Amino acid sequence: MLILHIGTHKTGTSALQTFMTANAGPLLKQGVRYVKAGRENRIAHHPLAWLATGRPNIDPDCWANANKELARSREPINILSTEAFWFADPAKVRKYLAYDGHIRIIAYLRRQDAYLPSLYKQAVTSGRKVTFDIWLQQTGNRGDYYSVLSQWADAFGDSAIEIRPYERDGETIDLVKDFIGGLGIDSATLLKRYKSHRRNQSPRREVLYFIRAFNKLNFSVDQQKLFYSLIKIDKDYIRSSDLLTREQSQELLDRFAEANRKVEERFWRDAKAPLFPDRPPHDRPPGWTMEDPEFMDLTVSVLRALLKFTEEQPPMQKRPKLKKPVKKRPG
Amino acid sequence: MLVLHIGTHKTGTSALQAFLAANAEALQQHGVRYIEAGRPKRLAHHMLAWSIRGRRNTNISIWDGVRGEIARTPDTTHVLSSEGFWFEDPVRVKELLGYDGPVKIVAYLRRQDQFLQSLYKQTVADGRKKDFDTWLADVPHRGDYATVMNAWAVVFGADAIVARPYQRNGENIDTIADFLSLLNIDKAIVPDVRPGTTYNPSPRRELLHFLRAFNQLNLKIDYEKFFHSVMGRDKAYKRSIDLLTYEQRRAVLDRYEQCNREITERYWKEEIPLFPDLQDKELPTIWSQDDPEYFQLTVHFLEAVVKLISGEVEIAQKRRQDAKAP
Repeated sequence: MLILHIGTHKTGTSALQTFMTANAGPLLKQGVRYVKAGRENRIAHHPLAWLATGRPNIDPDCWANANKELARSREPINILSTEAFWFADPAKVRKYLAYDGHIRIIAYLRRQDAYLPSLYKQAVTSGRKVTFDIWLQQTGNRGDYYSVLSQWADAFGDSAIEIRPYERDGETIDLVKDFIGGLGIDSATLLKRYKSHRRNQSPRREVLYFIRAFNKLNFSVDQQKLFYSLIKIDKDYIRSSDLLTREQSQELLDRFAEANRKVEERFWRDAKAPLFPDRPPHDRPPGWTMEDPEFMDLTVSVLRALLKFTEEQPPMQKRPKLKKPVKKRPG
Repeated sequence: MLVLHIGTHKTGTSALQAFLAANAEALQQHGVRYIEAGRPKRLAHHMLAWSIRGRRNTNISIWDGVRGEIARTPDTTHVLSSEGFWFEDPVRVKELLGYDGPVKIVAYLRRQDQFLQSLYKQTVADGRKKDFDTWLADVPHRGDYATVMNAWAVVFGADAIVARPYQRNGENIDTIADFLSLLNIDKAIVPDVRPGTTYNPSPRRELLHFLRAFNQLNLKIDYEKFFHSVMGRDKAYKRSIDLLTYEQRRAVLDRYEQCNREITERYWKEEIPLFPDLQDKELPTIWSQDDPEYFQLTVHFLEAVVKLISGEVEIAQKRRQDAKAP
């Protein structure tokens, strides 16, 4: 069997991929192969998806190598994992993939009023400069799960599609536990030493504000490094679900209501629980204003981080303007 | 006659001093001498004030030149100007002047709620870190005009004291025109050769937040230069009197009510009030993080900081390289 874990972003994919990379040996002992080819020394199979999306400078043999490893595999379960598959053309993936066995396409889905703000935050920490509203306009149907899933279903069949909710009983799931637990192996042994911790943490709204402002400067710095240097200063600088007002959240839910209904109708097979929590959207928590000492502390922290960053590396250079805008993922 | 302009801060003193320095020759044609001594390479006579307590590496001998210059041109109206005099002992000033002729002590006064907000902003622009309330609690005397004016009156006589309001008819006055009128000169007849500069502009409250945060970094830099590098990016960054609510302004004025009554009774001779009545006006709109203007300000500020730091790093690297050079 081959499991294609296709995303989505912001559902703990990095944590899962890190776990599978670190535990490839123990997994193998239990008959699970986290395919090594197609990763190019990464934790996930992004190059496979990138080749399918036409990205340049990708090893053209990466699919051939992955197929070879799959062909040689004696393990009953084989896994390819990258959220970049979400953007790839499933028909192309089907074409590149030379695998005759049973295929499962697994996607974790998060309700859009949580998914899109989280995705936007990651886009900003990766260098994007636009406001949430503009980003949302630019990214179009990023919350339309149905249009993506239906294409995968067209390529691999409806029965291959397995969607899983990122929230259960009012809590976000631990993707590592959920995914590994769902493989039908002795996951308890495997997870004995596993400690849940979040990767790709979300900056709180006010921190995001500064990161976005910094992005506007077009300086060539390691945005991620700058971001992590900031959020490690204070645990209060990390916070999710603080971007949208209740009205904005509701607007998003309304926009994707029909697509979500179709997803549930066609792909959701658990009659006992809803795919997405039916709690009403909550209002965003109050933010820090200029009058709050916390905002002053944050401003000082931002300036200190800039100071440290500049002192540690050569003076920041303005990034040369590109002739064509380069699209970044996510967003 | 000697006219000693003693302040206060934030009443257009820098603009006035720049005018007097730039147009000194033209003023001499009208019988007014903006004394050359005591202000080497400066627009104002701050060094005279500093030298009284030996501040900023100054020497009291700097007064020698002033006395000599006054003595050489006895039939002229002499002008000395520094808001630094406001903090000095008038007894010492009189001794050091050694001048027997008529003296006018000119002080421009601004209603304290405005004066203190503006003064606080300048302290932050100069590198101070405190919030307004803490700063205000530390300097309760700064709005007490009566104590200072009385001390000057004791030494030079109450008749020598000229208190001038910084506001008339709801507007800040033109300090230059007003000061020249005290010298019986119409500003219009003096061709102004100053470069077109805004002196000590007040940063709007939102910018003040960033400046105060920046000051926490304790960098050894030219704060004034940095401040102007930010202010120059958008004229909207200049705004005074946007820190206190009506109630807060009322509380400030209540604190100085007795002082202001005394000033008015002793030194103010006109019918109109020395200070305008406090109006119950709303604070101007303050930008929030959701406003594009605030975001642009943040970008501008970060850019100025990065440029400054990058420049400083380059300078430090160059110095290290130079030090290593044979």
